[in-house]
Amino acid sequence: MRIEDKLFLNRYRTDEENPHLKIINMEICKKCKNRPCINCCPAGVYEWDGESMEVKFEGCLECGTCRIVCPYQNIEWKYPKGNYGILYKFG
Amino acid sequence: MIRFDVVVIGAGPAGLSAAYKLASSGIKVAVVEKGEYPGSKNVMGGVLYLSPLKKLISETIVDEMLQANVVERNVIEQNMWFLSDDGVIKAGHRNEKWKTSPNAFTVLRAKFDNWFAKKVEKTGALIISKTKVEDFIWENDEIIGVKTSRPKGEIYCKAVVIAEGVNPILTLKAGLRKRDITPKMAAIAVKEIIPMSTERINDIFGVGNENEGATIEIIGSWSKGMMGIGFLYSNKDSISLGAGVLIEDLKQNNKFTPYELLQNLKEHPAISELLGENKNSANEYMAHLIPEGGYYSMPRLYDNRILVVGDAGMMVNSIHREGSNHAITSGMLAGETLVDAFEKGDFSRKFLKKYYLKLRDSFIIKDLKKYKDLTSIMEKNHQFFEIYPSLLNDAAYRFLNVDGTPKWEMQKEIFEMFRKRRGLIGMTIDALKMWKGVRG
Repeated sequence: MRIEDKLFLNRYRTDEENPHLKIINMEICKKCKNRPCINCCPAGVYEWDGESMEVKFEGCLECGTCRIVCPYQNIEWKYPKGNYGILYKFG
Repeated sequence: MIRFDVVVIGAGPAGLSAAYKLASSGIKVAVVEKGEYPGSKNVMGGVLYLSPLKKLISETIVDEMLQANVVERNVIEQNMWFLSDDGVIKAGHRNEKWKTSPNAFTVLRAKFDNWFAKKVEKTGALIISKTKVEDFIWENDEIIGVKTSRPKGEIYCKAVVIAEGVNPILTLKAGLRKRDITPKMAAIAVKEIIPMSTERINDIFGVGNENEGATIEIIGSWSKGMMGIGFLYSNKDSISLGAGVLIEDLKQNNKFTPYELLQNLKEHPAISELLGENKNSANEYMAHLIPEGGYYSMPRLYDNRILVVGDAGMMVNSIHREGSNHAITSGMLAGETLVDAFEKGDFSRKFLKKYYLKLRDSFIIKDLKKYKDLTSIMEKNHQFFEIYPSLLNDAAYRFLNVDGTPKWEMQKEIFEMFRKRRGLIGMTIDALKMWKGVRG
């Protein structure tokens, strides 16, 4: 199963207007050697396109791994506003 | 102006336990929860221990949970599996006593937490869901309330209980933690709920009905040498299959994603065949951090008008996969302390230190202290997750494979195998390290 298919199993209420994950300074990502956010994120949220970091916050599972793993604290990490984001049916 | 006696941040087991204790003593409590309903954001592997709930509520709570159908299976058997690429060593314990006197249930948190929250509401607490606490309201360096995400959503109170979970967003804002947690202090665990018929689950675990089940903890080849524990828990009509690895290891390795590691676990012949045709279906996929830093990673747990409970206080004993019991017990002890504080009218740091002293006298801080060095020993010594599980399997295979080799020669071969792959000095040091870590 691809990660997209796994995320498709889940229920989300996405706050499209207000991404809860933001790259603070893209220049820092450009210089970042390993970009551990990409591999460590369990939802495949981060994708490097050669120039910039795409943040697919819609699939975020709100675990906080990227927040902890970013070597430069370059991710502005918030929980989505109340009632939004991941909504587990089983948990 | 909205005013409560106490605001609890987060409707997980820790926050709900604190609220239960407070509200049953007549204290006016609001529990603020950002999820759609309590449980909708909450994840754990799935083992809920019962003794703290009995202490908090009553001895009859277990029957009540069974009647309300909010738990999955009674854990009557616990196993530990050590995997090599093609083999498995299994160790486990089953006990008839657990059938009549349950020790733990497997649970699915969306269901269980929601039920627990309703139970707390009946004691008079108010659960405010769909609402996020953004910040605190301060006056003269003391917290006097919280700012929520709702318009005009300020709530004033005498005391706050932080039960926000493992990400210390508000604990940092409250000044109870000087620095954020690091990749060495948490594991990232992912989990799938795999549907399976009740009958098949009964067959696999050799249990007579849908109310009894087993747990399997899994160490070895799947984690590629990283410090990690996999798990397979039986629910009524599904399996919770998960894999957790220390974030520091994942970061250093920088090759595998958490879901690829879960896939490794799934593809192991022993797991793959157990899951059978259900292997590629799932009902839900989730991720959560598990506090691994133990004693050294704990924040300050009390200050003027504020207490920290559960995962927010890093109160998890990952070696014994215990966390829900720490959450419920710490919540209860925080509640008890605040009940006393209301009687005395004293919410000072000096008075609330009582909470810490209660924790210190309980299993929570005793166990966290006992294992305080174990995570760092394990994290620096990957052989425990890679070489030893594979060595054990190869030794067992050599010993049990009948091919005409005399047993005396076999023993020599196995001894050589250990000597070559780990070395006698290495093994002696490992044994001492383990002993030191476990003895505490």
